[in-house]
Amino acid sequence: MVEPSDEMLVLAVLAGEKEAYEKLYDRYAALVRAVCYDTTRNLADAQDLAQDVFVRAYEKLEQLRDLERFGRWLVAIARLRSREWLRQRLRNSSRRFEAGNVESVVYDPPDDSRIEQLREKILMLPERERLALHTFYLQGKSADAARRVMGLSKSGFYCVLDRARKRLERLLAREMESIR
Amino acid sequence: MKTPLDEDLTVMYEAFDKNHNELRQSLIASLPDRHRRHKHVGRINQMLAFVGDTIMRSRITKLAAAAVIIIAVCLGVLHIVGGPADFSTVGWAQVVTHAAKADYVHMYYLKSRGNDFIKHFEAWYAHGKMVMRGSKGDAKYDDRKVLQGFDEQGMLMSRGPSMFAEGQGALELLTAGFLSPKNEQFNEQVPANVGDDFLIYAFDPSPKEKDWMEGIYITVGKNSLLPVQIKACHKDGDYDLIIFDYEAPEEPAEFFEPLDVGLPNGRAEVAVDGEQVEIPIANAPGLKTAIVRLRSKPPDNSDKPSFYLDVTFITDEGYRSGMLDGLRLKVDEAAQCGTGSAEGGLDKWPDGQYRNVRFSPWLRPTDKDGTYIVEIRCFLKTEKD
Repeated sequence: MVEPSDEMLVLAVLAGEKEAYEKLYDRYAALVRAVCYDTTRNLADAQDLAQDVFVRAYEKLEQLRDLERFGRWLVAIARLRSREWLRQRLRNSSRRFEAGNVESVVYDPPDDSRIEQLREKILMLPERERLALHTFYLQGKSADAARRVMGLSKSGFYCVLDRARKRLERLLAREMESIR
Repeated sequence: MKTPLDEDLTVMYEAFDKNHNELRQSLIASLPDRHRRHKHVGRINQMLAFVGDTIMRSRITKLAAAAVIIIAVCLGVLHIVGGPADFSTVGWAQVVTHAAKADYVHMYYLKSRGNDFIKHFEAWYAHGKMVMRGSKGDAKYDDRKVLQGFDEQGMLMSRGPSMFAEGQGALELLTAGFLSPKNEQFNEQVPANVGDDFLIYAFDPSPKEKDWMEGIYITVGKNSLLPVQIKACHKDGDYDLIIFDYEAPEEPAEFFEPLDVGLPNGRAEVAVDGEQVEIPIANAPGLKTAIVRLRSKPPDNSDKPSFYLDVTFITDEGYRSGMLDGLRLKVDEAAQCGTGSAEGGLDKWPDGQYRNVRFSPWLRPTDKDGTYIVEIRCFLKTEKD
């Protein structure tokens, strides 16, 4: 069965069909959480932020001019919302520090150490390369879907993805060497 | 081939699906219903909410839109011949009944703001289609299937589903129930004033509008029952005024087609699955050429033939934009797009300048099989918003 395009789903949402928004959520929620995670560094906060992002997108959907670029627009909102979250958090922690009550950051419990390492190293990648990995692995490994979210040509996208993988391999190899 | 890194990445990214179904359920439950959201506001607000999206979002514009709707309603009395003897009992319901038959509307919408008197927009409804033209040359077209908005340069700025529901009359739609015969609050209303020549209906603002609106006054010709004007008065002394044009002849059907919205900046015949074609661009400072290719597309359930279009622009400096490939384009329907440099960014041009090529490609049929005219409307945006 052919999946409806983002454009079709957005039009349906604008016409009042909430079910279409569920489909858009299924399509992009994991990606939005990953983008938020880049800032929050913990999954629970990333999930909360992602919910905010979808609410904000729903409220501002009429402002989306190019309906086919819903994914790209959503990622932009996610980055904006993450920056707001970070500013808020910095303000709060500075206040807490002044009051002599510094709250420690709660990290997710580590799972497989290799996976945990991978997660850490991804956070060290340049934003563009990180986003290439997020979009590729969270858009069903479809380079076409991923490159649309990033606004790149197919070849341009593969180029960034390849660079991201190579840099990631180098970072992991360096980590292994330091352990030895 | 899957590498160990690929496998680890796949596993790692699965974490972002955690609790997905619960999160989706809670999100969807928290979202307001787009239609229902409008149901509990005042009647005038309902109309505003409806028309507001098609024109502007300011409070003032919304008020004006409400007045426009009421004017449109009044047009329905155009067909009434003769009038009742006791004019003080001409209920609004009679206007409502005839409003359903209105098949042509032409009106001007003006507003007073302090010492200024401004033409805001002009609207027409005929042949089952609606056109609204703003004072800056922007326009909206609704053909009961699609609502399209164009800026003053003819660029498609928005596209969405038609405002019309299946089989819905123009005035029924525009008034969002204001003219419903079941609406006793308005339909039983009789003229507030019966003069020698005019009947004047006065409507109170809904609770939602009462803080800033004084009321809406509709003047109707006593014998013809033709609406003469609608005046929506604000408490601060400003008002919106709608005037009907009965003198001008009805616009022809072509007028309601978005064909004459600005001249294209370039056009050329392009064969489907043929060679790429260079289209010289005129009157778009900074842009010299568009290079297009039209490709066939597997048939879908669309009512019109559709194709993929690949587009690249060349600037006056000879820089190449990114190629937007695979734009889905239906015949006689515009799309709206934008692109940055070939490097993939709006400020990644060789000279480091910001450039955003905004364009609307449009596909027109020709007499030849497999050949279409590609029209390009475009401009170069050199400053960030």
